[in-house]
Amino acid sequence: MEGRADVAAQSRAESTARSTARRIVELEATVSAQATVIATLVAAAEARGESITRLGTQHVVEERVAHVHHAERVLRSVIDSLDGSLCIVGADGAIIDANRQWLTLLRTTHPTGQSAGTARPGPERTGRPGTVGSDFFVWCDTARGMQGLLDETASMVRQVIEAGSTAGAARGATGGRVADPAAFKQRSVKGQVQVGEERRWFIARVHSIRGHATARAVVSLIDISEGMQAQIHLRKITEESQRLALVAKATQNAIVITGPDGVIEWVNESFVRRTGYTLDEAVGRTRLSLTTSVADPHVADSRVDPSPAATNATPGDGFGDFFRAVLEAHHADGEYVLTDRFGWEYWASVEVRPALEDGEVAHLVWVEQDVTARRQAQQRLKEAMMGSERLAAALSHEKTLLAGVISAVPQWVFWKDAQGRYTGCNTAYLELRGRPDAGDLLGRDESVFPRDDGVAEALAGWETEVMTTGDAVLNRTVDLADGVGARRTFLVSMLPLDDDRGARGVIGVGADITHVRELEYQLAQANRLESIGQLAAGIAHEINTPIQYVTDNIDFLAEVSSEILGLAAAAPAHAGEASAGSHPPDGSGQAATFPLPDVEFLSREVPAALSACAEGLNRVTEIVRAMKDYAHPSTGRTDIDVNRALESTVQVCRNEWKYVADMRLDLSPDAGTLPCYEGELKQVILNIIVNAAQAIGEHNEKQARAEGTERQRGQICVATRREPPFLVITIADNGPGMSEDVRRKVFDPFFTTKEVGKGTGQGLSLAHSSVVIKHHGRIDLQTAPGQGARFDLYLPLNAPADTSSVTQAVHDPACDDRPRDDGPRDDRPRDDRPRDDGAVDDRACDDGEKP
Amino acid sequence: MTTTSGRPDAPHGGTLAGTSPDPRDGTPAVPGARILFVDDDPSVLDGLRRQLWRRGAHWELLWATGATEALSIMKQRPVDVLVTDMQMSGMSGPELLEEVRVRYPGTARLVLSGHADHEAIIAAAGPAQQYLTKPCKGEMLDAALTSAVRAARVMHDPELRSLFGGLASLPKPPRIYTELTALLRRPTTTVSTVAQLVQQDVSTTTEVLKLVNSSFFGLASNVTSIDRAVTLLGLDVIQALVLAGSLFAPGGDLPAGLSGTDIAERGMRACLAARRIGQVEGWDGPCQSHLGLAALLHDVGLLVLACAYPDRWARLRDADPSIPAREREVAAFGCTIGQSSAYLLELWAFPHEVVAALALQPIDLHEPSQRATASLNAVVLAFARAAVTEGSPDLTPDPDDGYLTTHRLAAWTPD
Repeated sequence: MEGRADVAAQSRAESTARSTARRIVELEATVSAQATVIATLVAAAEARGESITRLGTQHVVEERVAHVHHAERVLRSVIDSLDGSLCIVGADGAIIDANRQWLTLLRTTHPTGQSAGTARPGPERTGRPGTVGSDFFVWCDTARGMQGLLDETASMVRQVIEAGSTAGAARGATGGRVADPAAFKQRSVKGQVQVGEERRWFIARVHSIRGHATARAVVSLIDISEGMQAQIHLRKITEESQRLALVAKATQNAIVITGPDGVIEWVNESFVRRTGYTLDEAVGRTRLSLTTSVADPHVADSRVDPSPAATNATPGDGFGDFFRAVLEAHHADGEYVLTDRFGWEYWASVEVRPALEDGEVAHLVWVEQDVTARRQAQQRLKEAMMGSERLAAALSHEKTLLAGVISAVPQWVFWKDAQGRYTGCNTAYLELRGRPDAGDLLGRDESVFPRDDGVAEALAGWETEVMTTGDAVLNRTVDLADGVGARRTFLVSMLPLDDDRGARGVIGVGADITHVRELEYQLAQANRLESIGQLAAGIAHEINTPIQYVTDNIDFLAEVSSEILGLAAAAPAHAGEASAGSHPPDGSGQAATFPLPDVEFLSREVPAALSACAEGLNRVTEIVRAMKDYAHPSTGRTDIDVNRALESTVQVCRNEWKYVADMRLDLSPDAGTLPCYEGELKQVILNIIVNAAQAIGEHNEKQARAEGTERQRGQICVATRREPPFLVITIADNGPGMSEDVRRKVFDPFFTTKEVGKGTGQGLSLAHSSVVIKHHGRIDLQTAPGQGARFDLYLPLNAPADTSSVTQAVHDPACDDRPRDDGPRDDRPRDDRPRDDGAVDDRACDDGEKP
Repeated sequence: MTTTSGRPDAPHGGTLAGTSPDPRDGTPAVPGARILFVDDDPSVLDGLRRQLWRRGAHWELLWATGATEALSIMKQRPVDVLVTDMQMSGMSGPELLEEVRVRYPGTARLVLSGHADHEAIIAAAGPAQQYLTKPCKGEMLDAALTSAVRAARVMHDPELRSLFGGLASLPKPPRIYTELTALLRRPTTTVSTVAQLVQQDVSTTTEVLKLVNSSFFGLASNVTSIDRAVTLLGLDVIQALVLAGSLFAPGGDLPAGLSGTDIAERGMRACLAARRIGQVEGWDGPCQSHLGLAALLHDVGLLVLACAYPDRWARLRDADPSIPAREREVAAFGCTIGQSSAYLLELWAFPHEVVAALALQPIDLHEPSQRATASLNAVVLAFARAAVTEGSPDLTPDPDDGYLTTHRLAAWTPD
């Protein structure tokens, strides 16, 4: 602006100068004209005979000339006072006149006052180039640092000079008065020149003048550098303002410009759009008055949807405080809930900055960004984060809990990835492997365990099976050395662990069932003893009976022998008397008669008594031996004479069957020996026989009662035969048989058809598990209602190594039906087929055990 | 296999050379008793036969292998004593015993079993029978058989026969009692008809009511009518009271040292004690009644004999108390009081259980063999009587596999 003012002032000065110059010229012209007029008038007057004081005219002319001189002086001082360098160029190109600044300028352009070297052809001009009287064009050519500009200037001057000469005829009657604007055109050119050490902007103006004798052009050179710079600056500012205006127009943000008092001076379109207040409505009101805000900006966090303003909004809170702060500090930021004209609330991020003029705050610029969406998003994010945190906390808690649980359980657990590397395990597992801490276990495979404790080998097979088939391997028993080297028995399961990428790892779980093994053993023992207990009553009876008659017979023999001895002792005396002939003739039982022993009685009864004694004692011995045998069988797997064992077992339970059934033993002579667990096998046989006897007894009892007849006897047959690779023991009876339901369940633990208190149903279940699992054999059961029952026990003649337990009596379908690689399959009782009656004898049975 | 040893009268056993009294138990055996042994094991029967070879002189011994055979023998001729095993094929022991009880109630039943489970045996055989466990020593068996025979053939006991045969007239049961018994057999009998009958006999009524109101029954209020008494105590108790009331009425002509009242009181107490034990053991009503009656009437024989033979009574009365009761009684009368009462009651057609229980009295409960060979009824009776006379008898309990265990004795002893 300054520049413009300067330029304007300069222009005015120039104009004034020019107008003054014109005025002078006019004045001169006027004077000339008037002088002419006067002369004419004088002439005329003289002609007429009037005398005019020449003095008056001269006075007038002298006055006029004095005016002119005065005017000239004024003009000169005006011209000299101009900032610009001015010179007047005549028609011949000579510089007619110049102002002081021109001469000053010459010092710059021609510092050394050189004469023009490259003068143009033309009359010689004298003196320093540029001075009055010198050639203008020469000066132009030689002016240092101003060539570019002056070239143009020079051409403009030439044009003016030429135009002046051609337009001379166009002058009007008024003389010097300018009547044709076109002819008095002002030409100017701007350019940068080198002045001394600086580059400055100069404007060279050339305009034609009339009315002077030879003056044709007035050339002015004005340093307009400041003006130029100001102009440039102004243009920049203008451009910037325009850009800013564009931005302000285009921006989404609402921009408000207020005074320092917060009164709105201007708002942008976005403001209008956002708040609904038009520019006119807004201007003149305070920013605060255009909004109400919710009292607590933090509470507003939860109310993110723009909605009709809540009634608890109080102007002057929240944003009000902000507003007041702004007015004081002129600089503030904040986020507030604002309301628009219609009462809708929205979140705005408000920045207020001062705009300074001359160091004073002239305006405040408010930039308000609608951050509702962001706030909402932030809110959601916060909630999501809180939710995540809660979730994470919960998960962490769960994880800790789970880890704690897994670590705390006494069973060992480990899991590996598809490459067999450990991805985790619990404390119990580490103890098992004798390793104090997990440490570097994760990510490593079995090789991390230096000690060859056999665990890896034992489990490897199952791991592979699980990983390849994807089926779980459940409840296998295995003996392992634990962390301190003691051998313990574990119940192991392996399960597949599929991750979401389809790779299959494995989970291993193991429980120490060593004590269970011991319990099993004790249970087996207890069962055996229980059986013995149950049989004891019968066995007692078995023993008591022979003892009874042995005692009776012995008593008899004692009496008899004492009598015989008595008689034998008395015989010689009688013999003496007899020879003395002193007995009465009738021999009628008097004491004097020698009593003859009843020889027939004696010879019949005495030997019989003796043999009965022997037999009875023998029987007792047998029973006791069988009992002993039964109560203390050899432990572990031993080779047993099967037939002998069966006889002994049959003997032990004799009391159970002898009243109700006939027993037939069909023992193949080539049955030979069988490697087995003697105690358990005998127990099995015993259970089956006793069951059969009980079934027969009850059934026949019922039948006898129903029909009113005497109770029938049933038949039980025990047979052996050798059928490689098995030894087959068959126990068949002709009792009532079993229905399909019963047959299916008969090997289930605790299944019993007996009434409460009469057996726990363990017998056949244990039998099954013993034969099948411990002996790796198989039990076939054929039965049908009314057709008795036949048990075939298949026992392998060559027993593989055993690693399984007896009380796997729970039928785990997952593990039982799978073909084992070390024994025959366990077939549940097969479907009935017409019984092969070869086992049960319908002939009058001969009980080989006849006493 | 059946073997008979001899004809009833011709001795087979006895001695090898001839006959002589059985030296074993010292008391004369009842001759001619018929005993049937049943066991499905022939060796056992042979053994028994040899064991009892001497007894063959006095008794007729019959042998049967199996219950069926036994029953067919009994059908041919009655048997005094049946000895059977429990476990037999075909019909079992308990079934046989039941058959015999029903068909031949007069036959004494004895169990000789290899099982030591007393409870089971008693449950199966019933309390009226004797039972022995194998192996059974000869003496024990003999004693049991003897007492069983005695009980079965009390009427044939020569001593008793001579005792009662010598009386001028055989005592009869009180008329009132006979009528009452007949009345009770009729299904239409009611409490009031019974009361009417009894009230006809004033003295009996008085006696009955006196007994009812005595402390034995522990009744809260005074009973003044027979009706009420019947309602409170039941018909069979009233029946026993009527008998006691009429038999043991005061007054009458009793020798010195004998008091009808005392006898009645003792009898009542023993009756109640015996019934209570029967209840404790869970025996049925008739069983308890029989026990009660036996206890009540134990001394009825004494009354008769004391009146008939006062000098013998004096002998008994003055005998040394330290001598066992049985000896004293036999020394005085030639038989035990229990036997005499049994004889009388059999005359009066009392139930066989009552007669049999009395015929075995007295039993010295401190003697294990006497305990073991007597029937349960007899043991209970002896216990009840002992409880009345000497307070709770301090007995050595059987071991836990025996019958009179500590537990059982404690249960029998009233608090």
